[in-house]
Amino acid sequence: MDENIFVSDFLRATREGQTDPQGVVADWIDELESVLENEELTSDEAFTLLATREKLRRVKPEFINDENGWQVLKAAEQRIAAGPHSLLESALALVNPQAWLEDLRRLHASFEDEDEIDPYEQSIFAAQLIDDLDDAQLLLVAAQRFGIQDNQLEEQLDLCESDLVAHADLFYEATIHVQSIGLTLRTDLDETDYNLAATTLKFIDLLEAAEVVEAENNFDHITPLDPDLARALYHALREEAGYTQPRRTFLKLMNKYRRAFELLPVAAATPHGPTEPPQRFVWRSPDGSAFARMILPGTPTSTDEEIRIGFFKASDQTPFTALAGKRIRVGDAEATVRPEGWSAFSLKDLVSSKEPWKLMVESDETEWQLELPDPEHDR
Amino acid sequence: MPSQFDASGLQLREIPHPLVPRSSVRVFPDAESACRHLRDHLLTAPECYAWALICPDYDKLLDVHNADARFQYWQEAQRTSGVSAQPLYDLYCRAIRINAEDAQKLGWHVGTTRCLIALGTDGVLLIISNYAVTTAFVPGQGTPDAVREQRNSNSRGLPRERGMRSGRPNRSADDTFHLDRLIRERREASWSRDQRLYYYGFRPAVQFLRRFQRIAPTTNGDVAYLGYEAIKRRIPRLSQLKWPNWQDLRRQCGREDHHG
Repeated sequence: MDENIFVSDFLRATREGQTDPQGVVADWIDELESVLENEELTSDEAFTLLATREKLRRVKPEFINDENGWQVLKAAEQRIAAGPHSLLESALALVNPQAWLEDLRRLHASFEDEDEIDPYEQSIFAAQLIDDLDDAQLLLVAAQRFGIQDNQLEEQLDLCESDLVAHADLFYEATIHVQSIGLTLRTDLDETDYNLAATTLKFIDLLEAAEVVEAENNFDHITPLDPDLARALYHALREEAGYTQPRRTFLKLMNKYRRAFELLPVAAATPHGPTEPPQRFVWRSPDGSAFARMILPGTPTSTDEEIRIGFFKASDQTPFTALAGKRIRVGDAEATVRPEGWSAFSLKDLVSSKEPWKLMVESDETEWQLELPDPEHDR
Repeated sequence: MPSQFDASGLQLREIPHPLVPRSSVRVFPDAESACRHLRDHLLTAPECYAWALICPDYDKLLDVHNADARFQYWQEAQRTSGVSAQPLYDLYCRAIRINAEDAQKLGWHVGTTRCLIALGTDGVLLIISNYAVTTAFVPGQGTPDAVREQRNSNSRGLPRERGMRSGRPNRSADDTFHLDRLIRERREASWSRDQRLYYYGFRPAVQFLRRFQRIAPTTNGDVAYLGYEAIKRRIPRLSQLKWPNWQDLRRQCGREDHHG
């Protein structure tokens, strides 16, 4: 997809050039340089060093456009390489997702506070919360880069991200900050660095929420639709444009598998932890008459695990065999539909695939639309 | 804490206007708001530590590291209708005046004679509106929320460390904080007072002002007002404001010793 999902021309600040992506990157480099001035680093400085280095990996190279910027990055690399584990140990000891969640509750309460709160203070607080979560996720990426896997922290940060996404409209106060960061982001990360790509997903949600807020604000002279209906319509339109929540969920799962694969040899030698429930995905045919269902394991046990996609009629959920013998593609992985109405892939092929959320039927090159199944139906 | 109190005993001062030195501006429109600013900025941690560096005579009035002493100072100010807070207010006025002069000399201001945002080399950001200073504080000294919460809760202690970087429960956070303290102490052992002011006052203020962008556009499509960080268009990047650069700027402002 050529479209840059981190840039929204629907948003006024982006459209009118109020954003400052160059300035944002320059400030990150300056911050990194400040940290590198010190011979010994405190845990907070180690945190900043590791997170900011990862942050700058996400940035389009054209934004790091001076010699000093590249020198600072090189110096940061050398500093990290000289003792990554001690830096990570002290930085990871600082991360407190629970305190972040409390802060989020405070932000939420500030909108309902009887005392009028300066919107500027709210915008600072909102931006700080976004940055704090982003930095913690980037620190985790840095840890994974050096072979440290902290599943507990990862789950806690996922919970933070879920809460941020669930309250994404609260962060409209910081939308120019978010839009500026969005403009700096590389769009090819999901092909090159899944872990890093996963840290950018929240910005898509924040931008989408900002679009909703602005859309509502811009039409406030018209009798407004019921808010629930407006949101449902909005999300339907966004899905048509390819900005789908299912795709996001799918990408996160693929990312999780990649990390799980790296740890499989270790996992085999250690006692098994609790297994997670499988995740189901559904693709709808262009005419809506059929759907394809794939069940992905919550906890993969082998890279060669076979994953089946079953095709069903929408009317009565019986096997849909009209595609028998045809080739289908899921991302780059290919298979033939069996006479019984299903086909199989290896999990490894799916995970290493580019755009793995895309199901294409090759005979007519039609793309089926990915959606999350309704848990109450489609069992 | 009551929302209003009698501050009639505090004598308000004036300072020269940074853009029109022949005219003057009052340091806060009324005594009550002046006292509130003393409480929220000069007597509230962690910003009070920066003010103790900015105002060398602060230590003669009270021990900034003693939270109870700060709280008692405020209680006394309330009891005396602001009279007892006059010395601290006068120190504050002097610091505001000097930082306004810095802003004028360095061109670190944005706005008009009527509405002006300015930054001085101590890291003091001040706003003049309708020919009165309406706020003057050191940005980057903790979140506004933390300061507000302490104010609302009538807390006597330091605000609780919190946020994403506040230490992971059940991990080695205590050891980490201990080690951090040692690192800071070693680093600061050779620092002059000016260096502490630079690292704990000025630089965090610039970092803060550069980090955040203007607030969201308002519902009617206009930007609500100019954010404080509009000043960042007038100040150099942090990489051009290192310790030696800052010393040069202080010399340009005639501040060879740390309080001119």
